[in-house]
Amino acid sequence: MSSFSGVSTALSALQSHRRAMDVAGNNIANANTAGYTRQRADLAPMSGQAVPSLFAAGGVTAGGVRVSDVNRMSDEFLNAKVRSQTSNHADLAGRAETLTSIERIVNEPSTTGLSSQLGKMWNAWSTLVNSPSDDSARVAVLNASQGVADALVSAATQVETLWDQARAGTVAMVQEVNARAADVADFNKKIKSIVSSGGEANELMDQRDQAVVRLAELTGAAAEPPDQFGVVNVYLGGNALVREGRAEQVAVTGEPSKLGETALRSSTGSDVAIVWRGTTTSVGTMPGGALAASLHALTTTIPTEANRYDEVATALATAVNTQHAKGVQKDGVTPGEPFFAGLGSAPVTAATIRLALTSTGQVAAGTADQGPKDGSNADLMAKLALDPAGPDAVWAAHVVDIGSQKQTAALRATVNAATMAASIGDQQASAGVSLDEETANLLVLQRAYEGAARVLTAVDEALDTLINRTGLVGR
Amino acid sequence: MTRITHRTIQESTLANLQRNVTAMGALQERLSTGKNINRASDDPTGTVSVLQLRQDLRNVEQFSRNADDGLGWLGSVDTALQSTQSQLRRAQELTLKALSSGSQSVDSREAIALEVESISSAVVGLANAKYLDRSVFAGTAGSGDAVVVSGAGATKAYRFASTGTTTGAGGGEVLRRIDAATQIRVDTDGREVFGDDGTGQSVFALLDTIARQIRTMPNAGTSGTTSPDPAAAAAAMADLETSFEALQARVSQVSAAQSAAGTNMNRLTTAQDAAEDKKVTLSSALSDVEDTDLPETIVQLQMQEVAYKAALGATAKVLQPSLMDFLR
Repeated sequence: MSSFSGVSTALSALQSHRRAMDVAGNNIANANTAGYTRQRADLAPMSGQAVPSLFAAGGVTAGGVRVSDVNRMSDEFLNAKVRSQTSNHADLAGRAETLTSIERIVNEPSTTGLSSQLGKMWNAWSTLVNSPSDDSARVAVLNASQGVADALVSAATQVETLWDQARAGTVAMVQEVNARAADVADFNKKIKSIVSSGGEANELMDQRDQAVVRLAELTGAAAEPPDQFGVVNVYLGGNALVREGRAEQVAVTGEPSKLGETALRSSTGSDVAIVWRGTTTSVGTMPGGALAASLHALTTTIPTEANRYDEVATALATAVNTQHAKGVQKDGVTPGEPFFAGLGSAPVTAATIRLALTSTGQVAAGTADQGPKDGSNADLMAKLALDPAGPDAVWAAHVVDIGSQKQTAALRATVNAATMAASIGDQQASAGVSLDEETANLLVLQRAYEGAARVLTAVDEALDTLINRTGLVGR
Repeated sequence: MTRITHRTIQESTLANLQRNVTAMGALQERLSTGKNINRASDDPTGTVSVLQLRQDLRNVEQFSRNADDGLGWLGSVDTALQSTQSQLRRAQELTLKALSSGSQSVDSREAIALEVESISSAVVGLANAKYLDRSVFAGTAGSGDAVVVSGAGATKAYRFASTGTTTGAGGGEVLRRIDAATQIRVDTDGREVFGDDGTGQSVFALLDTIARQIRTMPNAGTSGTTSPDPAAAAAAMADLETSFEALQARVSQVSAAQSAAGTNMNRLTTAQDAAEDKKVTLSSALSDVEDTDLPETIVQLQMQEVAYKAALGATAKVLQPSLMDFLR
């Protein structure tokens, strides 16, 4: 055993503890950095002779201490939980958001919604019963009916705008998915080259993991645990979105602004889908994430809503036109013409419904052969308000449906937000920086550093005794 | 052991504060709008009730307006019939006078005949009674007078305006809806009350006939004139008597119509009262469903505010201390 080995032992302690203090300092510095995972300097004794041999000096003690590893305190199980909860939450919150927008368009119960417009129209017909020959009552009927048609057209336009916005949002999200996937691949490459050459890439891993969480939030993509080089592969619908340093890209298909076309509003919904870029192969059902919510809105929720408005428009036009044809116009002879019609020769939908009458005389208030001041047809018209298959009933059913869907969706999103918060909390509990803990660590490390310095002093003094005070007997 | 870091405390604290503020926002919205149901998802079943109740309320208001209008119609009908009644009673008196004193002078008979004629035209005027420019005895017929006069003298005929597009078509009734299932007739069929010369003899023609009969009655026993043929005189008397009976029948028809109108008026008044009552019931039901219970909501808001303040206080305490404070 060398006389100076004590010095090198003390030195190793000084260096290791300095390093450990640096790590603690780094943790404190990043206490508020999003996505930062706390690190810990693992100290290990420098082993003495590993294998006993003939010439080994006896009584081998340790040769000091070293920092064996700067450990990143990341728990892959907790990370996976955060990813899946985040993607679930993005999906549910997205669905709730779409329904909230629709509910805003529905605008019920209110004094301006469709139900009150319909009510005003039926009341105008009722008033017409009392004075069938009065032009002002006829004008009131025409105006109130125009109000209903306008309300439907405006709602249909808003639904289409909502669809266009959702599609634009989807395109933006897909662009972000591609960018993030490229980021992950890039990080993977760097991490692999650093780790394979024995370095530490903890900060890069933090950033990479954040990008992976964002990918999960957008697409519900699943990630494998990191391999021995710290590389993470990301899978979407069973296919690799990111494999090591290579990222695939996705794209949106389906023409924009197609909601207005009836073909896209069939039971199959619209044709918007996410495919692998450059192919027609769909990525499959989105397992979750904001894109799943967007696609659901584009292919199901919004087209269903548009169909519901069409149903109301059709029910209205059918009921009113049928009854109108049974009456006679102001001249008492001509049968009532269609009251509502589609724009041009288009069939009646919420987007095309128009008031077809142009003059007050065309309003068929009376029944044939009942005299010019008869209002019996207007009375039957006003009674349509109570028809269980009439537009009011169809609309009320729709309002309730949207209301309960939104309620359920909002509740699920709220519950899931709590679950997500809990899983993020769990992750933070393991990966987050605790200032108290770091301070305590610093304290301990500082003391150890002082101790090592004292050891160095002690060895130095011993050597001083040996070198300067030895062999001076009798001098 | 679960590690608790400052970051987790901060995040959970923020989340809790956020939850408190959201709850307060919801209560504030309820208070400021005065409504419990601001959108369909607040209470889907309540929303159906609201839509239904509002529709019911609109209907009841309309029924009440209909009843108002109907009462106006029936009021006009009633007034016209009342006047007709008294006019016809006067005509009866005059006829009786003519019958009982056959020996009246030509002048006095002429005076009676003239008065009966004026009654005839007055009754025509009453039969043309209007409410808001619509004849109340002409059903759904077009504008203009209800009674159409044609011819003159003995062939003068009174017909009611046709209600249909083809001549003589059935009369359209004027109906007012007072609830979803009931309509009440608010006009009176003039043909029935006054008669129509197309289908029988109208009261107007009858009055004209009576006047003619009185005027042409043979002079009985006036000195200095030719004594009338007793047989002719008796026949004239008999004719006038027949006319008197016809007039009698007409009077009772008018009072029957009057009581029918009165009955309908009663029904309308009852319906209107019922509509008013129902309006109150429906309004309070609507208010129960959609309006905010102010005391309850204010108390809730207070409690929420207390909770929020407590959370803020706790946050101020928990985020401050750190081991740093206690190291030298």
